[in-house]
Amino acid sequence: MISFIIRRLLLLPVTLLGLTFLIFFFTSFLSPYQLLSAYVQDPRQLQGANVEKLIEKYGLKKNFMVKYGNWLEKIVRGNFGWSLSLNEPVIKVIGQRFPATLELTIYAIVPVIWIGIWLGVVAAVHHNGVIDQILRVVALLGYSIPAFVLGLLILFIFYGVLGWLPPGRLDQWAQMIVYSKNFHQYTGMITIDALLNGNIPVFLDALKHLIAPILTLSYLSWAGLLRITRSSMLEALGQDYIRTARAKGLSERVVVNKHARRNALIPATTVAGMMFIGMLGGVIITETIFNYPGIGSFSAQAAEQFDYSGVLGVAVIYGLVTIIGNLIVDITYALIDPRVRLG
Amino acid sequence: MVKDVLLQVKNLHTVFHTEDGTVEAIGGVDFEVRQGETLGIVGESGCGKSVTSLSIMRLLPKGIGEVPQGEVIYKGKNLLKLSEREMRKIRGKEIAMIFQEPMTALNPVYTVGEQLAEMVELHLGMSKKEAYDYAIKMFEKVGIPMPEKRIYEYPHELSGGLRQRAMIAMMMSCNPNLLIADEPTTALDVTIQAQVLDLMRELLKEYNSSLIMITHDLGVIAEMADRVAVMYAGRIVEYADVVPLFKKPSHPYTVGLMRSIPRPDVEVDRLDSIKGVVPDLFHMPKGCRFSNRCPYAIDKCFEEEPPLVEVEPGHYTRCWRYQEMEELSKHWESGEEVGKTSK
Repeated sequence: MISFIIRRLLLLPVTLLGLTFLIFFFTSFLSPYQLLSAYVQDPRQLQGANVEKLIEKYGLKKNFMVKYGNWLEKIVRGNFGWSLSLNEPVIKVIGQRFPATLELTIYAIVPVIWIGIWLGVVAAVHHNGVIDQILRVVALLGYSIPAFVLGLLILFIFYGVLGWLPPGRLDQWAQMIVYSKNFHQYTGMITIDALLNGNIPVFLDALKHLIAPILTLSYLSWAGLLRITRSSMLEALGQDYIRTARAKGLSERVVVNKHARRNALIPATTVAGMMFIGMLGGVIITETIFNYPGIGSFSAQAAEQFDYSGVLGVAVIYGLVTIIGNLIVDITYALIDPRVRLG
Repeated sequence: MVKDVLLQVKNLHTVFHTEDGTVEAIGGVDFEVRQGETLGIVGESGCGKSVTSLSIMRLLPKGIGEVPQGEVIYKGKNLLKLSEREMRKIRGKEIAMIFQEPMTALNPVYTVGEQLAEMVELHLGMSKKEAYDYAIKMFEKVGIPMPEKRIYEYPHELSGGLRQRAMIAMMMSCNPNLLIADEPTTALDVTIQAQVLDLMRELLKEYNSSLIMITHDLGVIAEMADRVAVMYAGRIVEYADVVPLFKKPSHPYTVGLMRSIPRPDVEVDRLDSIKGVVPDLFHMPKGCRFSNRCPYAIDKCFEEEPPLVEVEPGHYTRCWRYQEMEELSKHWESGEEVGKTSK
């Protein structure tokens, strides 16, 4: 098991290198002038005839591999260029916004995994019963409603009509507390920071702003997880080893929760991993709808305004998160299924 | 010396509710198993052998299989009338079951030791530590080499023979009074088959347990059984002690089964076989269920089902022409000459 994890970790840098290469490859379709923005930290540098010199300086007319090497060197040093859309260094934008997105996705994915799997098991155990039928309809709805429609519906009902769940990340008064000197930002995730600072009102306010985007982001995912858990659970319950478990005199609870569920989790883990990666895409729509200042809304904005260095920076972060997500899935997979642990 | 009757099955009926309607898989089966004796149930695939054993254990698929009629008396109690809770105390502890394919009958995601230990923890009230020590002892007893290492292995890491030994160790671990073995050697190599049968015989003798051996293999029956029930299409067609059955088979189906075993003393070009397959449950012949495949069938056989009659003390058969069977059985497939009336 340990050697399995070590082997996967050793592969990580190789995958990352491939990823950056792929991302940078797309920039070869851009002119040197467009590329320049990725290397400039301050627009004042661009005044007058300096542009040609800068292109010369950064070697933007050189061949692809040289450019790639230069860019990679800057990325490694944490220089992601200047964001045209927000007029700030990209790395600073990411530093501010990534914790917000992380907070949103963690709150979306953790309940999804618990509730989705739990509901899937319930549906399978009550196969074709009333609960199963209701869950099937709810799951089908989740599958059929696009996130941007659902998001707008939620925004309309819970903000527009009821006024309960406002968009954004914090109310004005809470923002003033959070950005004051007395409030220490440990993680950048406001709910956690608020608890660490012992400030319950801010915690509740942040939570209030999170509910709507979490719902939008996760409905599709837990519908999917419910469906896959339900079907893999049904399959597991029909296996010979379940008959054996019953023949041993084990209670139905042990048969379902120990013998069937562990096997049903194997396909569910794969789906949960894909879901997590799918969520990164969902984040773009969700954050834009709810005006939530995270990586997703930034990437949408950057793409709209041809903020090429912003898009590149986000792509690298997305890739990194995807790779780490996959690694976690693979390790979980090996933990659940002994047949996967090779060597 | 007549031994105590341990299990008595009376007029057992099992039906299956399918999408195409309700079918009767077992239509009135009677037999008994005495303490320390082995009853062999023999027949082709689909004749109801396994369904009989699952009916006794009450492990028929829920909502599909049902026992509307009959009694299963174990130590004076009708198992069919027990609550699910009481039945669970019987399963594994009093009556244990070994299945055909040890690869699928063992749970792939738990170690074999764990699968044995959870059973003794439940039935013998052992602690985890005691249960694992006990598992090592049981593995040693069934001849698994390096048991202290093997108990931490997963089913896929063991060979087929070892897997079945682990299965036997598991099912014998609570010292059951009755063991039901459903084709325990079918999935194994011939050399391993003999070893596994020897092992089962030794253990049964040591524990003075009874055995119901379900098989399609008359060789296994000859080696293991004291008494034999031959099943065909949900009925017992012949029921006798093993020696009289082999000496003087009184049902054409038994005759057919015996003629399809290769014998070293008789030289033949091709083995005899019983033509056709077991009729499907929706299209049972009207009279005797074997009539459409029987070389000796007469008109009466197609109209009226024969009762189970006693040929000689303790030897029962379900055939209209049992008195002529000794003569008839000399001509298999050439039954025409001996008086078959074509349909």
